[in-house]
Amino acid sequence: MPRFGMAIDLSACVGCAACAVACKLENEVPPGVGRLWIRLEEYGTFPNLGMEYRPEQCLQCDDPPCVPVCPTGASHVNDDGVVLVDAETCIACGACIAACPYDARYFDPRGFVSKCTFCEHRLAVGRVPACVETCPTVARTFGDLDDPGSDVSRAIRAARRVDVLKPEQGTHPKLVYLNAPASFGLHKEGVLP
Amino acid sequence: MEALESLVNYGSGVDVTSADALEAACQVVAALYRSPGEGLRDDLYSGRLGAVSDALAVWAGVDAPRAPHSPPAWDRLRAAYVGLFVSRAGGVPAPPYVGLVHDRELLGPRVRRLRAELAGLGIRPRAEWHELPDHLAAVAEAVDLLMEQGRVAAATTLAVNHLVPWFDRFAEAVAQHDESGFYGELTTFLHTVLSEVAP
Amino acid sequence: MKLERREFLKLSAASVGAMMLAPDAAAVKLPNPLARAPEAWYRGQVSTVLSYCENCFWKCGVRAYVSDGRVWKVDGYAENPLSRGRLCPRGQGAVAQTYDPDRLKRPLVRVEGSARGEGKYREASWDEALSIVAAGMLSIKERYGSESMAFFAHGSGDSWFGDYLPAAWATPNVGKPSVSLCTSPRETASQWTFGRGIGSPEPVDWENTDYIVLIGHHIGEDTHNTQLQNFSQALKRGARLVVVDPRFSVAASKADRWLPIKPGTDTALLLAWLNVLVSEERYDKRYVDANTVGFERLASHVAPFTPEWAAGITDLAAADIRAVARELAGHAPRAVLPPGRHTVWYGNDTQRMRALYLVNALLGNYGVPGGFYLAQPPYIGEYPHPDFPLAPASGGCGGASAAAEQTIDLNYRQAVDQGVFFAKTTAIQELIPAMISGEPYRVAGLVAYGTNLFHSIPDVARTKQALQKLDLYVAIDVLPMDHVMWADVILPEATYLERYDDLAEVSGKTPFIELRQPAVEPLWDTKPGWWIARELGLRLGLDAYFDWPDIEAYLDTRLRTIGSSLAKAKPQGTIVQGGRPYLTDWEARHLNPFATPSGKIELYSQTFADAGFAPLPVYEPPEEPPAGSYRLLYGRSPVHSFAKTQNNWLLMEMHGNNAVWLNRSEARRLGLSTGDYVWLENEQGVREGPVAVFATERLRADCVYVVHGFGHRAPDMRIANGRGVSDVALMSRYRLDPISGGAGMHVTFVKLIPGAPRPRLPRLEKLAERSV
Repeated sequence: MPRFGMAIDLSACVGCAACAVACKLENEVPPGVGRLWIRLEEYGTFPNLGMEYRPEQCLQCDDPPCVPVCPTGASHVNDDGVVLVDAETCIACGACIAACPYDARYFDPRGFVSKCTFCEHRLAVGRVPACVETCPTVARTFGDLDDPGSDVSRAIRAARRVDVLKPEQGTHPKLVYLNAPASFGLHKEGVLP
Repeated sequence: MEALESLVNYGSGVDVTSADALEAACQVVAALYRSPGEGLRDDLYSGRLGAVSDALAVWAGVDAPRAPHSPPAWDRLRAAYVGLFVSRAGGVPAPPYVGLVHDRELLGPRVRRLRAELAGLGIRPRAEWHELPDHLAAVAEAVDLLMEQGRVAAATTLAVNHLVPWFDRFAEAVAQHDESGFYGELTTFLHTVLSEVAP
Repeated sequence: MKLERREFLKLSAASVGAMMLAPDAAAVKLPNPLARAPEAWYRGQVSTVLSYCENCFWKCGVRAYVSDGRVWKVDGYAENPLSRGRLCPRGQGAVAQTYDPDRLKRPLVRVEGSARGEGKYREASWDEALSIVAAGMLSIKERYGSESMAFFAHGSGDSWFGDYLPAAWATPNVGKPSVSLCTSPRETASQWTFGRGIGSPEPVDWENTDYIVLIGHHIGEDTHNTQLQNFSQALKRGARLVVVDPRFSVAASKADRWLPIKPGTDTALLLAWLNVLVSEERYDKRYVDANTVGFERLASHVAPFTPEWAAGITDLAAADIRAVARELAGHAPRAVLPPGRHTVWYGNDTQRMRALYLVNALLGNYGVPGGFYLAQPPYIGEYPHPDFPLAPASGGCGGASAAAEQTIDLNYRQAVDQGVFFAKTTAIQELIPAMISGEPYRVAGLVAYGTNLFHSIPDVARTKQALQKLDLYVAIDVLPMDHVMWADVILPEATYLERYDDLAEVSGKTPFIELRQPAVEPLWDTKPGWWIARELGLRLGLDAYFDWPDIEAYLDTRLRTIGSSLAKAKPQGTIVQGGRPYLTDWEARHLNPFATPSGKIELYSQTFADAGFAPLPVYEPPEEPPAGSYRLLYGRSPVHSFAKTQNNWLLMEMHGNNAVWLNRSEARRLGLSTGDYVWLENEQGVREGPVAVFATERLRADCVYVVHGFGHRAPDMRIANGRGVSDVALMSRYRLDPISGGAGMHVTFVKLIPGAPRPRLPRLEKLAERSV
């Protein structure tokens, strides 16, 4: 079985949000909530400046803290390593939202918790997630992390550096960031160096 | 005019059911919220619309609206209609689509459900009806059609599921933005009536 | 006793009911009412239709996904050379416009006795509305002549309302905002330098270039899809990038060098690069000898323009200026300065673009891999029609005829702006004065198709004054924009997902033709532009030009001229042809691409000299902002298209407001922080706002910056009301480029007035509910 993962090349990302818009439509995400958002950080002082554009979404952790806390089992991992929520059995208690260190989950107004699913309906027919497909700068790669020939594996190998968000949480995300522009790696949320 | 008189003479012991009131209210809704044409003009200036709204007021135990008895000039009414329900620089204040509040979008899942329900009940929009299937006037007319066939339960269910729950917000928006006063007053009144029918 | 069924209200025979009984209606699967999450759209029966996008003017090929009579999603498709299977955020989000409850739905006629701008309309049938328009136009023709009608047009339908119909009707007063409010300096300069225009997409050979210099060209915030793809591919390949911009743009953040140039001094920088290339003999001698004229005069002209001279003017280091010139030369001919698109800055922009082209020419990159390729239009026949009385003359960003000899038809008066500037294309903003003054002759009527009159043309007060004086003002559009609700007659167009249009003919290395076809039926009573043009044409006595029975016949006839057909083209979407991208391809066929008077690239322009303009680019210092004021600069958001997407809730969620960018030190000096609200006031005392301050390191201290398209101020504007500030509203003046007719719009100076109240704005998602 494949172990699906994604890499986002921050040197290529321009923060255009094509991925975020595509996600909303592909997955009928209601207004006011989102599975995918873009964080922009500027750093430095004029004229020595840098910018980091960082799309964020569920990182599809290998050790997802959102699954063990679910009282009904609605939050689960499928055979391909994709973390999902079964809307029918979800009771919208919010425990998983609190447990996620990345703010990846949200309440769908129709009464269940939702989040990025790696567009598993697309994976089922051999297509890549909508965000990956549309990205005009080809910043996103996707595929089986256990297959060295997959797009994502090759991108990770070729990268200058690979970072994950909040590694200290021990979640082992399967969405990684490549080529972070600042020398220290990823910006912390809301903190400029 | 026998039936109207019956309704008007409610106080003298005629047993007007809430089903009848619902039917009457939906007829008014169907006439009022479609694009103002000869039909509405006729019903307004002949006094028929006024008579029915008065009768409904008696049934509901509230004051009758004055608007149908002193409607604005026809052109002003048409302009008010466009500004409230059709097109206005920067946003229609009261889009008359029953599916919108639930789906937060046009032609969403609620409308699909409504269309399927209507099809199951044997009702569909005419080809000349260049509007969305969940337009308020269309849904109200569907209720009326079902009543006409004597399918009271189906009509009531349709109204309760799709028409009544959203009408309060609709009435508030119309009242807030109607400069003519006509639609505002009538919509508030209809909201009161519908609340009595399906509390 | 239950009352019998009776008719409470007898609907008069004139009005038809909405619903009918149809017991045999096809059984539809009833969705499970207990299901929490309704079935996702992709679980149903999904069909796909190929078309091209309309959310900007790039025309990316899209595949629309249709289920249950509704479009749910669009994506690019791989075979299309523009989208190549990918879409920018505007392309992805365009679906939301089709299902916008605020869309124009039926023709509207201004209520008699009401004033223009009051916004009082009644509905009308198409027949009535079109008859009113036709009668109005014919009356104007009779009283003042057909030239008294003006047409402003932009978008795919500008083929009908900017070219076809006005040419058949016989008026030269046609304005496309894409010309004088955008590209005309670069087109005019290109025509008189290379004998060819630039067009769209810009013919930059990204695939083969190794060194890129962008002058104020904010790729990345400008999300023209293919260009963004090509740009990022070039960087991935290792191409070096220099960005010249007063602002640290997205592109600057990817650059090897950012030159934070003083606004208005780019020509000095370009002249200094010419100086280095010439004085250090780093230009391509062989190329210059073979393909250009005027080198000697250029060489002596640029002799004084040293990097040291330019450094003082541009506020850049001479060493950096010199280094970039040397690096350009070192990578030549695979070194390029792309032209950008919106080039109307200071009113002397044709000269700046000339300077930019001359640098390219000295690098020997024009018509050579890694520089500019030679774009060819596709071949396809016209639908046969009688000769137009007047040739379409407005130009456009998709391929200009800026300097082509205009066949002057002496039976008709020239456009009212001819003689105001050198180029023969029209300048939309210069067509307006005649509406007010009646000089040189009266323009009494206007049809505005897809052109946002109050957010694209500077001097909004003048535009409103002109509208008040017209006998007839017709707006054809999709949304009730501010200017639409001033018209006498409003004709609602169907959105791109609901209609056919004429074929898109795209020039390129491998030119191609794109088909637009409907994915779904038009909602409400909206109609495609071709239908509106045709119905109007028939009522105007122009039957001979509209003898095709329907658009399918029109398209099929055209496609058959190249051995295709509508049936064949529908599943293909795009038909790609061969091109002649490089000089070698032309030389092999003994053809000369340079349609200049000399037949060569004209470094020195005798034509300009003869017309009284500088034959070689000169630097003119811009006006300085008065003390306490800042130059107002503007640009794009990646998720918005001009001022047309601020009612699209999906895109507004991504970027729902603009702010005024201010250098952080300046902010500190003024006591302002990010999030403080200010007004912006220009020199004429026009005040706009409130707008939030964004204090940033990413901008020079002498200018402020806003994203264009916000500050819609219409009553009850649900999504965009009170959000941000309109740059155009602050442009009480512009500087006319006397060569191209372009309206220079970087000439507004503003003061920041602190203490503005924070606007109370409804949360975007509440508005996005689009419900009561």
